[in-house]
Amino acid sequence: MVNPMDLTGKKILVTGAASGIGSETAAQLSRLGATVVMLDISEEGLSRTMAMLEGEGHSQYVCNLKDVEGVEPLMKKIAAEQGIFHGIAHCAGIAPMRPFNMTKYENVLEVMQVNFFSFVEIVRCLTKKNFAEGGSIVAMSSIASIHGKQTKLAYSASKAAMDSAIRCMICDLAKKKIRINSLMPSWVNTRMYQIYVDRYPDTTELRDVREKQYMGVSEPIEVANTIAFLLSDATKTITGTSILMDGGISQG
Amino acid sequence: MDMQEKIALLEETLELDEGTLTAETVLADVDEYDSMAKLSLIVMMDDEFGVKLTGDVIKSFVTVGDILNLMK
Ligand SMILES: NC(=O)c1ccc[n+]([C@@H]2O[C@H](COP(=O)([O-])OP(=O)(O)OC[C@H]3O[C@@H](n4cnc5c(N)ncnc54)[C@H](O)[C@@H]3O)[C@@H](O)[C@H]2O)c1
Repeated sequence: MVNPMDLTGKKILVTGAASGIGSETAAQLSRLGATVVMLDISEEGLSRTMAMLEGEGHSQYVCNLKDVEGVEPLMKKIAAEQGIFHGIAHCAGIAPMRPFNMTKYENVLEVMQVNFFSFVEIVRCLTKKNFAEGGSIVAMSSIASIHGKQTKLAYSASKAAMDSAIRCMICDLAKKKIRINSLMPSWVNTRMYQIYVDRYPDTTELRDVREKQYMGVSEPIEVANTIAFLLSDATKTITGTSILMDGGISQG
Repeated sequence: MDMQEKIALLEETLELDEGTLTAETVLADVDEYDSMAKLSLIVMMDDEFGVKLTGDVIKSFVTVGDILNLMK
């Protein structure tokens, strides 16, 4: 039997590992043989995920990615303690909803700090000297990167910025044989989605999801598997791409 | 914040003219109180009062007074 997604011997940084997609991803990567280094603002959540991991040697770091200037020292510390990485699954992010007229500079800034500026810092710092040849980076973008969402100006802009930055990084990273891609899901069945359904059960957006997301809402495990595929040696040339996983909603 | 200020803040949040609302105003009678307005309300309550409104709480609002009671 072969398993093209085998990750044995690979060390992967998973951000946002305390909850939702990041937590599911950390667990699945560990089942595929990877050693996982987790990062999140929630220590309690990290410990919950830690208990789900298979195998030995995993570790966790608590940090607030809103503190963009704190990322470089943190990455130095992680590099010193962990050595060489083979991958990053960047799942940390916030998705606040705000009407446009209440979207002030400070609100946009916070989303950009957490979702975008820190992402660039993490990739820049960790790929300097601490990344293996053949390594791979996957970042959680969103369909919001290409589809305007009325109440998600800051979020959509932060994801578009991320996808755009990725396309600018591929050349420099390719010189080190590192690939970088992102995923653009529509709704994934996580706490984020459940809170949305609870608060706004009858919005046009949810009606569209029910009627036009033909393959249904994605489960976190499917996202985790797609991340694992891109991190694995199953692919060597996919880079600079943002993969839509939207159940068909943006085509129909 | 006194009652008058709270009503003014609510009017601003829902983009209504000053003096449109009283504590007795029935929300179902306010045309502008749609799903977007409810989102504005959720964001304002969180920003100004640290109150996180759930879907059930929003559904339970009948009059403006019901909202004012939570503005603290
Ligand atoms: N759930 C969805 O429907 C969906 C759809 C498309 C894209 N996404 C994206 O996928 C990613 C994960 O989403 P999720 O649904 O798992 O959300 P989630 O809220 O369950 O997980 C996000 C994680 O990021 C961490 N985090 C937030 N702010 C942080 C900070 N300042 N510093 C450090 N860590 C911080 C949180 O603690 C949490 O563990 C996000 O980037 C999100 O934008 C989610």
